[in-house]
Amino acid sequence: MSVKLSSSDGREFEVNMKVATQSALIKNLLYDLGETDEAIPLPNVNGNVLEKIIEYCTHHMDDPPALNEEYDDLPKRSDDIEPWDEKFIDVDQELLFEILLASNYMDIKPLLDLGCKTVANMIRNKSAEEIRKMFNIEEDFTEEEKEQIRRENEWAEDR
Amino acid sequence: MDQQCVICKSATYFEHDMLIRSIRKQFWQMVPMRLFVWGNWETAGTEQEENIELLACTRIQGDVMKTIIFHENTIAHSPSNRYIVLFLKNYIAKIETIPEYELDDEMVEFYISLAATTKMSFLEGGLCYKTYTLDKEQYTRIVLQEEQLTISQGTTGLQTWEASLYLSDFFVEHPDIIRGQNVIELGSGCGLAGFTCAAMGAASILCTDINSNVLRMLRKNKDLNPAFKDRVQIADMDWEDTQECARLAKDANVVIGADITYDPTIVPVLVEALKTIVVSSQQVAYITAPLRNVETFELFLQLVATSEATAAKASMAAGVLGFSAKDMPSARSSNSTSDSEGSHAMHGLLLTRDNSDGHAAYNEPAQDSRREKKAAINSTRKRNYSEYTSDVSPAELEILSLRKYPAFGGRCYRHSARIYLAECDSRQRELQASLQALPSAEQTKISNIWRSFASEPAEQRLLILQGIVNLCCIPQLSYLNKVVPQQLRVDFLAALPPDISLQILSYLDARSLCQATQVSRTWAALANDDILWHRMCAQHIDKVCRKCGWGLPLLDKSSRRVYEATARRAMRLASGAVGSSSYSGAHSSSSASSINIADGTVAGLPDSSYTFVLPMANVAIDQTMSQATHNAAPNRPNGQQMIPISSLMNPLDMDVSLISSVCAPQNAVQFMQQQSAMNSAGMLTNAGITNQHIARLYANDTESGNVSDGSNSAINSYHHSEGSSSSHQTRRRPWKDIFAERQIIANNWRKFRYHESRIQAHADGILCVQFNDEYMITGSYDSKVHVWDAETFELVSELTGHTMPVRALEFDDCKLFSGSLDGTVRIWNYRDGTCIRTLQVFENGGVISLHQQNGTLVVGGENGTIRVYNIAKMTSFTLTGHTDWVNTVRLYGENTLFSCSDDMLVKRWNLEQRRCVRTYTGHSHHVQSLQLSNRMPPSPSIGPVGRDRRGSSLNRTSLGGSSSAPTENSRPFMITGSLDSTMRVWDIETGECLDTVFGHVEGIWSMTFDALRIVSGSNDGTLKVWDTTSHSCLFTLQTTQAAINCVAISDTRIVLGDNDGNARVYDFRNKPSSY
Repeated sequence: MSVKLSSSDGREFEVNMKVATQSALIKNLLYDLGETDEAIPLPNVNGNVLEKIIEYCTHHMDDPPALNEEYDDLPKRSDDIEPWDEKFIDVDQELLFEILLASNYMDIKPLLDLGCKTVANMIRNKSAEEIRKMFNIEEDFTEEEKEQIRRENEWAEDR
Repeated sequence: MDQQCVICKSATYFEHDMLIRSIRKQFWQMVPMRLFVWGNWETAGTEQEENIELLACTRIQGDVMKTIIFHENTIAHSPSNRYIVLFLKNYIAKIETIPEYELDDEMVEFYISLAATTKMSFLEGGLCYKTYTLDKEQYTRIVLQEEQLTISQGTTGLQTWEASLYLSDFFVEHPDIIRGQNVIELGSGCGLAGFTCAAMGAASILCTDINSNVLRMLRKNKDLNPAFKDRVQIADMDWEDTQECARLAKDANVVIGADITYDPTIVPVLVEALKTIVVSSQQVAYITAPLRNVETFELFLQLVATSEATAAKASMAAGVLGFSAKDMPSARSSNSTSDSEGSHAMHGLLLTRDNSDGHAAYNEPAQDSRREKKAAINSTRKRNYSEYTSDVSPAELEILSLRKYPAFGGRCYRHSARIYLAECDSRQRELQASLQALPSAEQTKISNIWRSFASEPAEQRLLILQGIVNLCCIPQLSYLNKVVPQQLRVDFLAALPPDISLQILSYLDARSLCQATQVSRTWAALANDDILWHRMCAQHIDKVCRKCGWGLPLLDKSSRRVYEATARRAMRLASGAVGSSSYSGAHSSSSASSINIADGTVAGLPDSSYTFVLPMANVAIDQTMSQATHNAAPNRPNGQQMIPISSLMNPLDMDVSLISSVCAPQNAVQFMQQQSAMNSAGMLTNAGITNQHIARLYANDTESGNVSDGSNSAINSYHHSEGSSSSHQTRRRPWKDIFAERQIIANNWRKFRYHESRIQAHADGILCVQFNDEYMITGSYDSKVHVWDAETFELVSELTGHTMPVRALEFDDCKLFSGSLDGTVRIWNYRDGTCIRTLQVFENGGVISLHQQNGTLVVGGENGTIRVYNIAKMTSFTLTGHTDWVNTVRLYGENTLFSCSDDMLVKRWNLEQRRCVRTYTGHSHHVQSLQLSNRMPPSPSIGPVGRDRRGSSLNRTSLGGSSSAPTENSRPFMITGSLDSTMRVWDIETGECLDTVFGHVEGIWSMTFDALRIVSGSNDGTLKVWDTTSHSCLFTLQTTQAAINCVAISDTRIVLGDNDGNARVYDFRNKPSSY
C-alpha cells in the first residue's frame, strides 16, 4: 500500500503508507479523503526537503508509536539523539531550518523534536557572542540595554 | 532585454510574473468574473489587449495552479469554492479561444472535481476568505472573512465595500498620514480600511461598528491577521450615544470612515457624532463615499457645513478631495452587487476642525487650511513618486524587485525574513554602485545576467549555477567558499514560529538561556519567556533535577513570609506598642490565616520549621485566637462567631474538625479556599506536577496579576482581596526572577558567601533558639525568652515567668512552648507577650527538651523520664528508661518517639505501648542532639497520586543538594550529635549505624540538619556545615570562643546561640543593596 506525495516544486514521491502516515497531517488527510490514487500536494515543502523527510520516515517507519508525552514536567534531554538521527540531521542550517518548518507543517513530532534538539545543542554552552556568530545575527541592543541585560543575567555565570 | 518565454514565445518571464501577480491579487480579492482583468489589473481600462497566448502558456497555467490555487495563503484562507470554480471556468474558456490550446492536466482535473462538489447557486450564502495585498510583492496581506451575500443577518456590514478599498488604497499610498497615529474607524464592517492603517504602521486602530454580527466577524478577522492584530482594537459604537463616541475617540488623531453616508436617516446622527469626535485641530477625518446617491452625500456635506456655522467655537472645514479612479490605480471595484454603473467616481472627504477662534472670518482660514491640507497630500504623493523615480534607477528597482521572487518553492528564508531582506537590499545597492563604475554596455550586460537568473525557476537556477561554478577559477571558488557559509546561517529563533523557538529553548539549561537572552532583542524576548522559566523552576526547586543533578531551595514560603513579616511589622509599628492588641479583627484574621497557609503548604516539606510540622488545625486555632485576643468587640466584622477566651485552651479547641465546625460557615468557606489554595501551591513543590496543573496554576497566576510568587497565587490574591491594610501590592514576579533568587542563594551556600549579624541577645548563655522568617526566639540561662524581629533583630518582646534557665523552646505561628529547668513548660502568645498557660511537668527536676506535633507534646526531663501529653485532652503518661538528662525528644509519625540522653543512649519508643522498643548504642559521651531525616509519611492529599505509577516519585525524598548525582535512597535516617565529638547516622528502621562522622575537635553541643545541609556547633566555638547526603564537611567556621549551645538552619540562614549570650546569624541571601 503506497501513497503519492507531491512537493511544492512538483516532484512526486511514492512512499509506503507506513512512511507517509508518520506525518499526522497526511494521516488525517488520508482519513478524511479515504484512499486515493492522487498525489497529496504538500505546497509548503519543496522536493529536496521532502526527500530528506521521507528518508527519515523510512528509517523510522517501524518505530513504536511515541508515548504521549503530555506530562512533560520531566526535564527534556537533548543528549539522547541516536547515531543515525545525528548523522541524518547533520546538514547545513538552511536545510535544518526547512526540515524544522516542514516537520512542523507535516506534524511529524519525532522529527520536529530532533530538529529542535539539534538547534538547542548548537546554542548550549555558548556565549551570546558565539551564538550571534554561529547564526549570523546582528546585535540590536543599545549600550544601556546591553549592560542592563548583562547585569540581569550575571547570576547564571556564578558557577 | 528580457528573455522570451521558451514555451509561448509571446512574452518575457518578467511579464509572466506580472500577469500571475495581477491574477493572484484579483483572485484573492474575489473580483467578480465579469470585472476580472486577464491582464495587468493596474493598467486596465486603457484598452490593453489581453494577451491570450500568454494566458494559455503552459507555464502560466502551471503557475496559476501552483502559486495561486495551491498558494499557502489560498489553502489557509480560501475564497469560496464557487468562486474558484467560476475562476477556473472562465480561465479555461479564455484558453480555449485560441487554436491548438493545451490545458494543464492538473488544472482540468482540479476543476472537474471541484465543480462536481460545489453548489453553484448565487443565493448560496456562507463565509469565505478574501485576501487583500497591499504591496506590489504581495507580502503584506490582509485576510478577511466575509459573507458572500450582500445583505446577510440583517446587515450590509459583512462584506467589504468599494469605498473601503479606495480608502485602503489611499492609506497604502500615503502611509505617512497614519503612521504612528491613533486611528478610529467608524462603521468598520469587515475592517479592511482599519486593518490597512494597522498594516501601514498606525500606532493603534480602533475599529467600531454597531451591529453585533459585524463586531463578531471583526474580532475573527482581527485574529486572522497576526502581523498587526496587537494594534487593532474593536469596540461597539453607537453614533447616537455621543458621550460614548467622545470617550472611545478621545485618543484618536485620525478618524476614518468608508461608505458610512449612504443612509439619509443616519447622516444627521453621523454628523453629530463626528462633531463630538473631531474636537481639535490636530484631528483629521477621512471619509470616502461612492456617489451611489448624490443627494445623500450632499446632505452629508451640507450638514457638515451647517454644523460648522452653528458650532460657535470651532469650524469644521469640509472639502472634497477628488479621488478619481486614475489616482488609485490598483483599487478596483470588487462588488458585483453594487456600484455597478459608472459610479467609480469616489468622493473622499477630509474633515478637520479648525480651532482658530475667529467668528465671521473663519470661513476663509478654513478654506485655506483645507487647501493647504490638500496641497500637502498632493505634494506627499508627488514626493513618493519622485523618490522612486529619482533616487533609485529603474534598473536597480527592477533588480531589487527581482530578488523578491525567490525560486524556492515560493518561500525562502533569506527572502522573507525582514532583517535579511534589508541586508540583501544593502548588498544589492553596493553591487549597483560597483556596476555604475563600469561602461554602460557592461552595465546592461551584467544586469541582464542577473535579471535572467532571477527570473528562472529553481531547477534552472541550479543549472546556471552549476555552469558558473564549473567556469570559476580558484580565487572565485575561494570567494564562494568564504561567502556562502555565512549566508547559509539562519537565525532560527527569529525565523521559526515562536512555539518551535520555545521548544528549542526548553532543552536548554539556565546558563545557556541567560546567554541566549543577550544575543538580540528577539532572542531576549523568547529566552525570558515565563513558560520556560516556569519549567525550570518546576524541575529544580525543592528537588534535584534529573538532568543536571542540581536542586534549589524551596523559598516560596520564605520569600512570602518576608513580605508578610514586613506587613506585620508595619502594623506593629502602627499600633505603637509591642504586644499591643490593637489589630482590627479583620486584618489580623486575614493575615493570620494566610500565614498559616504557608504552614499548610510546607507541611512535610523541608524548611525552617523542618523540626516540627504544624497541622492545618492552626488555621482555625489562630483565627479564633487572634479574634479572641485582638478584638474585644462583640460584632465580628466578617461574621465570625465569638469564641470566648476561656474556651481558648479548652481541649476541644485543639481539635481540627471541631475547630472548623465551630467557626462560622463563612470561615469554613475560607478554610476550604485556603485548602484548595494549599493544594495548588503544593503542586509546585511536589514532584508530581502535570502539565495541566501547571497550566492551571499559571493561568491563575496570570489572572490574579498581583502575585508575588506563582505557587502562592491563590493565597495572595485572597490576601489582597480581603483588603489587608498593607499597601504592599506586589506585582507578579516573573518565574525567571524566582529561579534567579534561588540560584543566587544556592551559589552563595556553595561558595560560602554570607553576611553575619551578631546580636547581644541575653545577659547569659543562650540555650535554645528557633527562627522563621518573621521571628527569632531565644531562651537563656537568664530565665528569659526573647522574641526578635527576624530581619532587623530588634527585640519584639521579652517573655518573663520562668524562674530557672530556659532550656528548650518551640514555636509556631500562634504559640510558643518553652521548657525550663524550673520544671515547667509555659505556653505563650509570643506576639503580645502573654503567658497563656503553665504546665508543671516535673516536680523533681527541670525540663530539658520538648517537642510537639499533631496535638502531642513530649517533654524530656532532668530526671531521665519523658512525659507525653495529649494536648487536646490534657492527659499524660510517663516513659522511663533513660538514666540521665534527656537532651532531645523527637516525635516520629503518630506513635513513635526518639530520645537521646546524657546516658549515651538513643532510644526509640512506641507511644501506644508506652515502652522503649529499641536502644541505639555507640556514642561514648552525652548525646546532645538528635534529628530525624524524613518528613512525615507523605500525605495523599499533597500532590497528584497518579504520578507515582510512572516511577518518578523517586526524586521526592532524596535531596542531595550538591552536584553529586542524587541518591535514590529514600530510607529514613537519624543523625545524633554527641559530646564525644562525633555525629552518628542511623537507619531508623534497622537501628544500624550507617556512618560515624568525625571532624570536630571538641564535643558537639548542638546539631541540626535539613535536606541539604547538616550544621553542628561545638564546645570550642567551631561551627561546621556538612552535606546531608555525603556527610562530607563543606566548611568550618570559627565563630566564637564560647561553646555553641544551639544551632538552627533554614534555606537561607544559620543561626547559633553561644554560651556568652550572643546570637549570630549567617545570612546567605544577597544583601538587598547588592541587587
